[in-house]
Amino acid sequence: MRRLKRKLVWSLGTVAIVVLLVVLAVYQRPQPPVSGLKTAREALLAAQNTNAVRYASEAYVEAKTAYDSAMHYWAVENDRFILARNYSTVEYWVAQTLRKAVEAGELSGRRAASADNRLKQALQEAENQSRLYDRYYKHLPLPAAVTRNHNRGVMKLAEAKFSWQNRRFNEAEAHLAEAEGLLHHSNEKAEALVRAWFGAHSSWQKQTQQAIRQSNGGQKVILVDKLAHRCVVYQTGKIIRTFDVELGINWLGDKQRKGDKATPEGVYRISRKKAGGQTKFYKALLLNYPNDRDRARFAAAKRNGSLSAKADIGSLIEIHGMGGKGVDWTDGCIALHNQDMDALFRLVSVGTPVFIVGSVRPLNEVLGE
Amino acid sequence: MIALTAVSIAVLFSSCGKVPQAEIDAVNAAIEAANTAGASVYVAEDFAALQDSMLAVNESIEAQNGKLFKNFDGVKAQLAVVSQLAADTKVKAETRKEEVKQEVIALQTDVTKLLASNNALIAQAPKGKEGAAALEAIKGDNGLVETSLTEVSELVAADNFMAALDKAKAAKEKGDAINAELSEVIAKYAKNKKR
Repeated sequence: MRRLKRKLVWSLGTVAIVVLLVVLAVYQRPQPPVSGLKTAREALLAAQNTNAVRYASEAYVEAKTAYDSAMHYWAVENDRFILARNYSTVEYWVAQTLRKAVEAGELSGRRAASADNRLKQALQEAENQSRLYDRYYKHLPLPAAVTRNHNRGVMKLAEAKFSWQNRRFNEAEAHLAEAEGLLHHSNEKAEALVRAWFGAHSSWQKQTQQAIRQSNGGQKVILVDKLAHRCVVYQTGKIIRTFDVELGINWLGDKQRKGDKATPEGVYRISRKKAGGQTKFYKALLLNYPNDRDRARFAAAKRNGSLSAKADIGSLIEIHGMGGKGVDWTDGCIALHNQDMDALFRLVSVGTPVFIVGSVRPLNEVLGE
Repeated sequence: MIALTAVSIAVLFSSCGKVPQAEIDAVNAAIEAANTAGASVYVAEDFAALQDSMLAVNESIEAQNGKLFKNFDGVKAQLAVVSQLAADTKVKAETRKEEVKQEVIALQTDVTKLLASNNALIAQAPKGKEGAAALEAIKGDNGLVETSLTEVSELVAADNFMAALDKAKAAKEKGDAINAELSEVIAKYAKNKKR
């Protein structure tokens, strides 16, 4: 009985010691990095809120992968015997998550700010390109493709602006790239056409000087500046009247043939004055187009094939009334408002020289260079 | 006795609660539903917070998995909150999406009216050669706005309302500019015609 009692005491003592040791071991076991994981997750959320998914996607993906790894290794450790668990790998991935998430957040912030600034400047530059076109080229009779590209560019630019305002920088950049291409292309084409046209500027300058010189003796001389849409009457070297004019629909460039709707450039004279029933354009001053130079050039163009053999040089180029419509609308004539036509009609006579030049002002001045 | 002790310890170490998988699956489905509703696009911050809440739940589950005596009551309570949050986020996303959609539709209506107005102005404009070229150019611009409006409809059909909104705003801006330009040309023409 005593032996049995002693054995029981020993057994209970052994169990108590084992339980105590187990409890002690469990109590002393390593703990998972719960608060570290929470901090890492919060850093991940903070990075996400700075748009890191968009602007620092590589760093963000690394941070997210590190967090997923931490969770994975935590689960792996949980599957192990409680006293055999080791959270050092989990702690490593928690630290990696935190480091990468902070990096992604900072990188995203910097990139977003940089994209914002870059877009702001690029949008401004594109706006300037658009304004440049409006200022110098919009009112020129340019090919339809140039105008269409410009307008498409303007619309893409507006899309880019709205995306930028909503802080969707990636979309804004894509729209802007398209807008820049279209605007640049249309401006470049327009400028090339104007520069090519201004190749004749030296002869325009000579003709302008010739017009002023010719008026020195008291004779009235008409000078038409196509780009400025102005008709100036000179006498004794001075301007005595200035009128606004409207031109042929395709006035950018010299007249090549009948039907091209271009206003000719060169030195002419009034061959006939028409009024009353002689013209349907109120009053008209018929010019001696084509002159000898026009004929020679026309013949050369036919010979070299730039004009077809069937092409006609055209005629009936006049300075006439019915203008003041606010657009270029004639087939190549120069239209004045009826009141201005009355004044001009009184000032000039048959034989009055008419100089028609592309532009009196030089190209650099015209383009504001 | 030793065997009894071992069994007791085994029981002590065994789980006392089960992971609420059905609830987890339901919440994940609710989060996916919010995402499908466009939460990541229309209420991005709310959606990020929702995802974060689910990650916090996963951490709580793992914390319980690591314990001797598992108790998922807290996790279940968290899941209920996240489930509600997912439902709220979905509603918020749908509301915002609908707002954007309505804004796009309103702009589409405005632009359609503008196009009609522009076409009416073009019809009013002089038919003769006077101004015809300028009007042709403006007609071309109006055509661009029409094309843009078609693209807006395509984006709406593809449920891409944010891109549709940008395009519709741009079309409206251009349509307004054309309208102003046309009115100016016609007014100038009419005024000069009278003189």
